Amino acid sequence: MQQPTAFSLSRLSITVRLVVALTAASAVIFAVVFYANYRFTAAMVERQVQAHARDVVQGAVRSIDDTLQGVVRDQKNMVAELERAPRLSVARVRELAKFNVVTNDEVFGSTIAFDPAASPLTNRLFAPYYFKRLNGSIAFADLAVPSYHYPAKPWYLQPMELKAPVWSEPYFDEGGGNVVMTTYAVPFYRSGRDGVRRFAGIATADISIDWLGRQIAGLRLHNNGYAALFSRKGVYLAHPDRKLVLKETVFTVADRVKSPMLQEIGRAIGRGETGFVKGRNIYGVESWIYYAPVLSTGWSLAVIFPAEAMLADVYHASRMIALFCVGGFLLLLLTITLTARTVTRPLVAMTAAVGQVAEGRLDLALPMQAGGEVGQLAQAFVQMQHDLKDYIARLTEATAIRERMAGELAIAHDLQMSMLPKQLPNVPGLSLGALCRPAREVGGDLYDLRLLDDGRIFFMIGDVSGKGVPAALYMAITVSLARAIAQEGETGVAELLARINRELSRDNDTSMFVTLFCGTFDPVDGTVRYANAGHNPPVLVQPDGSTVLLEIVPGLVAGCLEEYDYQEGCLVLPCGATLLLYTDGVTEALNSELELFGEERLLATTAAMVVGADQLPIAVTTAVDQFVDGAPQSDDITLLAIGRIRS
Amino acid sequence: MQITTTMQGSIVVAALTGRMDAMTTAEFDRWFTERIGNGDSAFVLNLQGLDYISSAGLRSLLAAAKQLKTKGGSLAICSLTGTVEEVFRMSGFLTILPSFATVDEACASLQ
Repeated sequence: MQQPTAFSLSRLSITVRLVVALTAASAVIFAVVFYANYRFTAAMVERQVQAHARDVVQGAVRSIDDTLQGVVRDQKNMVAELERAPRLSVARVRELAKFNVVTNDEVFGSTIAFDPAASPLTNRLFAPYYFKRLNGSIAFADLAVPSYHYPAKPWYLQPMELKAPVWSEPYFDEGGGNVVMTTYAVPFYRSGRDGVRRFAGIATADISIDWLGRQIAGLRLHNNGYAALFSRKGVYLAHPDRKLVLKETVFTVADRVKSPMLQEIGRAIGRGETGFVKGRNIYGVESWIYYAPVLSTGWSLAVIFPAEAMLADVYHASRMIALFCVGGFLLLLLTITLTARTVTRPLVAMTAAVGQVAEGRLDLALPMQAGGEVGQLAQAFVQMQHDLKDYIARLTEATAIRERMAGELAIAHDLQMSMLPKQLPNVPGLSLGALCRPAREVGGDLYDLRLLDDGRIFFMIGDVSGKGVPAALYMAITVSLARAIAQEGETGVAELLARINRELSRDNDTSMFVTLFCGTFDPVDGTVRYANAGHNPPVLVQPDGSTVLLEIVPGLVAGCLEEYDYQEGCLVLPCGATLLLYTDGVTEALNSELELFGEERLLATTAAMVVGADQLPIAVTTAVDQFVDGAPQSDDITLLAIGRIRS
Repeated sequence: MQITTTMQGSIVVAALTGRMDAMTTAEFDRWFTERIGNGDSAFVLNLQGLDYISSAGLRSLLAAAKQLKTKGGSLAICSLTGTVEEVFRMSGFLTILPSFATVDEACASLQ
């Protein structure tokens, strides 16, 4: 199944990883610096705008105040005269009102309206009104006419009741001067003969506020800023959009554009507060708005700066900085890439060289590095290359030795096998079988089976203690010795075994020994004479197929004790019976559950077989192999079968 | 194979347990060489816990017995059971190594 290929930084080359990591880090740094700079600059601009707005507004407000204060001062002088003069003639009053209009550019019209009790026309209304015509000439009108009845007018009642001067809400003077005006009305008092000050009338000055619009339009504001003047009730008194003037209030506009912020500004203006707010103006443009009151009238002047225009410089500067950032970033990228290459180039060279070494070019000179980590790595590789060469040389040598030994062992195996009978004698009436399978190349098992001169058969099976080469050498000695002694025509098998034992025991410093079961078999009458030196008891397969272990006297293994008397046993092998000799490699074969094949199983297996003696060794070996089921053979297996064919 | 050694007077009593085959025999050889080096000369081998002994194991015991004989020492075995006893019997070793039913009997014979 294919592994899902997840992106992982660690899979990439060092160059790419360095570039990616450093690039990401510098991108973050650049971004932070850029953003911080933008915020800082924007905040600075905001502070500057606020300062500028405050300066402009306060300057303008002071200028407006100054002008209005001029009117207030003149009005005060006139009122002082009205209150001071012991007796007021009609002519003097008219003179005063006219003088007020003539001497003040800002004053459009003026009247002195008397309370009937204080009137120069005793107990009659008296209110001469002088005003400027469009051509600049002064005109007169009498307000004390029944159709007008000034004592009921707000401009007369308000200051009278408040006992203080009142600036009226601006209004459009239709029919009079056809200009926007506001009226400054001041109450005046006179002392009667009883010395009590009593209300005597109202002196007014109508002031055109067209000049206010002009003055406000003339304010020098930075960056598309503009100004607006509001009355205490929020009515537009001046605005670049003349359609708003006197027609709208800040509240009606706020309702129209649905701006709670403008509502709030309207309320703040009503309270005569100063403020600086940020938000959308009446055109929906994000702006800074600064407002402050004109103290004498309670009006408020506001200046509005569209944020975009204010921040234009900031944006421009930010664009420039961004450009520098990108440029610097690219330069950094280039530097990082080149540096990373410089760092990894030796590594790449090393990798290529080591790859060639890995392919077997052990003599390749590795690229030497001056120093640093890569230099140390290179040195380590050179050392490893050197060690590897040594190791391979030693390994080659060791392998050669092992191969030579394996060859020698193979030869030893062949030699050992050649010591066993190559061919079993062909004797009429007999069936003979033999098999020897060492657990390793060479083993310690042995057997012999040969026809003696007198027609008898000499047979022998044995097992040298231990395994491998020492056992094989001991086996060779035993076989040679037994063959030589048997050839001498010794009659008794016990004596023959005793002689073999004596020869083996003599000067035997190794304490190695061999179990031997040997004997003679007379094919004529089936007589078997045998002697045993510590070997396993043979199996007797009866003519009816039943099997028993031969009961034999144990006897000491050969090679231990020089003088030992072995006992001769004797039995007659009936026709159809087989004598099966074996070594303990058969009975002690272990399967993977560590169970022994054992004598019981050997007897049962053999009894169940219906093969001739010549095939019996192979059949038993096959049964053992099936039993161990692939477990490695731990001991040599040797079998020898002598069977009499049924007559 | 495990070898558990105790002393009864000057006699080394060693209990052999487990399997004594071509592989584990080397342990016995080392142990024995060491004891001989210490000057011990009387040995009783308690084979009660021995499950199996191969011809290599027998050779090792024989070598030990022979070595002790040349030095005037002695070796006895005791408590043989099962297949181990069968192997000793069949190989004729019981005719050359003194064998006893118990440790005490074996020790008594070496006094």
